[in-house]
Amino acid sequence: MYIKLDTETKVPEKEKTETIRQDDCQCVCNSATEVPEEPDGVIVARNFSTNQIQVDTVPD
Amino acid sequence: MKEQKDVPNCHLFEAERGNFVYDVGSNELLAVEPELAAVLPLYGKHSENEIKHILKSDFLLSKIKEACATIKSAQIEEGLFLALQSLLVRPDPRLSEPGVCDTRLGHLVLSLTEKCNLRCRYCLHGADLDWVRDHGSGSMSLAASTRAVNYFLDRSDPDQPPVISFYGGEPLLEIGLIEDIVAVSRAHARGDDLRFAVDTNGVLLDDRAVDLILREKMHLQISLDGPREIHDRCRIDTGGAATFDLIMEGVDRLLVRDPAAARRLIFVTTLAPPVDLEAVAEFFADFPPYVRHGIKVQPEVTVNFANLRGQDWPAAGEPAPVQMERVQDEYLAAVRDGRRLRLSPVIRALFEPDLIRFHHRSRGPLGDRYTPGGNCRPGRRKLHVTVNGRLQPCERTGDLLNLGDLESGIRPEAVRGLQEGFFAEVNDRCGSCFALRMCGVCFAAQAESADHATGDFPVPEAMCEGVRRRLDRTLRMMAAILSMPSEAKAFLDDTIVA
Repeated sequence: MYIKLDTETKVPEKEKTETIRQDDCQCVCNSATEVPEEPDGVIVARNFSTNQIQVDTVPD
Repeated sequence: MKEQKDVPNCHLFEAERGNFVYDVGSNELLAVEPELAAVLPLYGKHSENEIKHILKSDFLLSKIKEACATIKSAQIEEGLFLALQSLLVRPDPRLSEPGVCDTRLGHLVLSLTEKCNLRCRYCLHGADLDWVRDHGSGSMSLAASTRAVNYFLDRSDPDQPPVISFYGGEPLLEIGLIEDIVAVSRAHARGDDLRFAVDTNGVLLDDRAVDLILREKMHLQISLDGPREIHDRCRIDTGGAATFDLIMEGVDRLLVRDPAAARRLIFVTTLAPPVDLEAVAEFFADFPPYVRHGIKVQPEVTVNFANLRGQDWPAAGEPAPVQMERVQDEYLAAVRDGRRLRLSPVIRALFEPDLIRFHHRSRGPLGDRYTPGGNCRPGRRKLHVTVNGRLQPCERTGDLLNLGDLESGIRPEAVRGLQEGFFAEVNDRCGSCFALRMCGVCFAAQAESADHATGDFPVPEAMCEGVRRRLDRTLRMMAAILSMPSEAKAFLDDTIVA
């Protein structure tokens, strides 16, 4: 009764053919921070703009 | 994990090709049969028998039963259609501690001057608004800018090239100061890694400015609203004179010496009523300076709608939303027909960042805790310095949201205060919002709504509604694109948003 759409194909960075540059503010601020887990005092946030994991290490 | 016997946390929408669900818990976009779309809003708060009773006139009972069973099994086996809501939590207080909140800085924005040689009709600085300064006359001293640069570079992120932006007012009014700051910055230990950017109205691109821009390979963000008749309607100088031709001359002056500098240009187009989106799109599709200099790539364009809130600006012309719908159809048709790259960069800029960002979103389950406020780490992501040395989280946060000054540096308690204040404003509404995972509302939203009398910084509900509308549009466009042949939608995988 349902079909998952939009299955992301992981493309190695070097094979990406285009880069869309965004307005600086939107680029970052339209991203969201999620905290799926918090192991060992490390906040892991995901930057949707770049699909990269951003890690902020905080002191013990 | 807080799992309630409640309604699945989903956003349902109907489009030309059927029913779709954006499932917040899994961050998946799904095409669903009509029976499932009808059952989902009822599931969890009604029994199966009650759902059958409610929907029996529209659907076969066997299909309703199948939909209920499908939801149940998808919840267990695939983590879909869950009633998940994250617990909203404050940012970790350790992130606002000294040595954390003021290290690994990424981007310094220097407001070199409050002076501007233009008086654009939609400019916020001339609109007598509470939250933004009026046109001023102050400029940053070399001593202050040197201090700011050294503070920033001493604490810059070692893993990425530091960026210094020159902002204003019009920064090229202070070309001598820019030259001095560049010299000071290059002399720093991080000087070789540095990248510079100038946010300019493009009117003062004379030989001296062009020399510096080319020598330093500076990135330029030039405000240009479209063809002459549209640009000159709003973007006039202090004497009321038109500016389009001056900008074209400046861009020509740059490109005739180095056409490769086009790779470092971004044009910012601001649309104000009466909007003529097609005319602006056409102008940038065959961008005259690039045609003149044989530059084959399309210009980079960022499109904004003028922020006219609080301004007396009469509606005029065809409403922008009507035009947006038309160009949206044009965009989707071009994607379907493999003509996407032949579209105007204006039309692509209106939709593609959202589409591509959505496609590359996090695919993991919604965490059990969520900290609202975007990726913004006040001061670390971006550090704005005003002409009088105040430190702010960005250049769009008005006069009231400050992080410290050049004497104190970034004050941890100010960072903490900003984060706490934002959390206090949104913690009772983000949890139930379907746009939670794609939201970009940040401190700038608060600055715009700040009440100077009370010191309150509300996050307007209208802004949240705008985020939801925009995500809904993106989801509908995604649903359309994903039904297209694989070669038409390949750009989603091959493209990144940087």
